[in-house]
Amino acid sequence: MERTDIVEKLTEVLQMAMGDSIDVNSITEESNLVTDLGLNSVGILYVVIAIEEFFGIRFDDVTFGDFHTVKDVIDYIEKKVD
Amino acid sequence: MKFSFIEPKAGDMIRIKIGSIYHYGVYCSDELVVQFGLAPNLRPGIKDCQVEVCTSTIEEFVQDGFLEVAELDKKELKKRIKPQKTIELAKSKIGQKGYNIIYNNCEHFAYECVMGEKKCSQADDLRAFFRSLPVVNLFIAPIKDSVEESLYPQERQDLIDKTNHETTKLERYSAWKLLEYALNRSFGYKIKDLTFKCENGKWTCDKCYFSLSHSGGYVAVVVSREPCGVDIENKEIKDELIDKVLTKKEKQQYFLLGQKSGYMLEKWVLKESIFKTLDKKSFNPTKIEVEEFTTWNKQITLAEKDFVVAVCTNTPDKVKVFLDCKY
Repeated sequence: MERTDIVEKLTEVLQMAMGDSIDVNSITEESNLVTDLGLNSVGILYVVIAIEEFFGIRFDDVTFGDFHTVKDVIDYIEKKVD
Repeated sequence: MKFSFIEPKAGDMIRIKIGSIYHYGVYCSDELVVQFGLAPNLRPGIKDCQVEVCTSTIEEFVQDGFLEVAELDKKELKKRIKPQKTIELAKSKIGQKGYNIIYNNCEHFAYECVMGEKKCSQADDLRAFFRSLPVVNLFIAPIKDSVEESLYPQERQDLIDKTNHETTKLERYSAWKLLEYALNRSFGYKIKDLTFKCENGKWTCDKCYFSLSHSGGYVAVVVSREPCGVDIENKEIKDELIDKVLTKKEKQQYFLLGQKSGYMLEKWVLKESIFKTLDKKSFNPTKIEVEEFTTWNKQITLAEKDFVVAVCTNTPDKVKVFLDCKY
C-alpha cells in the first residue's frame, strides 16, 4: 500500500472512529493528535482499534502515547504494512 | 461476566464508569483496591510508560460514581483463582509497569488477577463494533499490460496459465492483482494469509466476500463483509435479445419506456451482479427479477469508453468507489 493510500484510509478510519467530533478536512500530517484532533484516552482507544481492524496490523510493540502527530501514526503504519 | 451494584467481597473484580469507559480494579478491602494506574481522569498528563500498578482506598476508587462488582456465573466461578490468591497476586504486581491501552490496561490486569488470563471486553466490544460496520468497496482499474508475476493461490495461477486468449488472460490476471490490492486496502489482509476456493467458477475466501468482473480493458473488484457481486460491461445489448435477458415484468416496463437506450445493458449488469451473490450454478437472467434485490449501479466513463457497473449488496448506500488504483 502506498503512502497516499494510507493517508486516505487513515482519514476514513479517524472519521469512522471519532464521528462528528473530528473535522477530517482539517487533518494534515502535522496535526497533533491531542491538541489539534482533541483525542483523549477513549478516543485513542477507538482510533487504535479501528486502525488495527482496518489495516490488519497490531500496535503490540509500541504505546499510542509515543505518537504525537498524524505523521507519526502514518510512518508507523507504513512500516507495519510493508 | 456480569456486573451488579452489590457489596464487594475481598478478591472481587470491581469497576467504575468514567465518562464512556470503565476503570477496573481488584477489591481487597475498603482500604485497599489494587489497579493498573489510577482512573484516567486522575492521571492527566501521565504517559503510558509511567503508569504502574498502584493502590487506593475504595472511596478514592469510586470517586463520585457507582461501584459495580463482577458476579461470576457457575463456569466462571469454577475457573476463577481463589479470592485469597487473587489478592496475593494483585499485591505482588504493585509497582509493575508495561501499561498499554489496548493490550495491557486496567481491565486486563483485574481480569488476570481474578480469572488467570488477560482479557479486555471493552477492546473486544470495540473490535466487534468496527467489524460490524458495513464495507462495500468497489475498485475499478485498467488491466495491466503484461503478466508480471505468479499469483497466489496456485489454482488461480493455473487458470491464468490455461487461458490462451491474451486479453482474457490479462483481464483474469489483473482482476486477481486488483483483488490483492482491494483486500489489503479495505481490511489489511495479505493475500497469502487467506484461503481461497473455486467452485463452479466462483471464487471465495475464508475471511470476507468478494466478486470480480472484467470488460473492455477494465477490471472491477468488490470486497465486503457480506455477500456481494459485481459486474462491469461496456457493450450495448441488442434489442433482439430481450427474451433472453428480461423477465415478463421487465419486458412490460421496457415497452412502456420512451427512451429504451441502455435499459437492457443496465438490467443485464444488475442481473449478473445478483447472480454472483447467489449460490446458483447457472445464470438465467430471465429468472432474476432485479427489483427483488438490493443493488447499486452507475454509468462511468473511463478512457472515453462508457461502462455500466453494478453491485449487488445488502447495503447499496455504503458502496464506495475507488478508480484508477495503483495496484
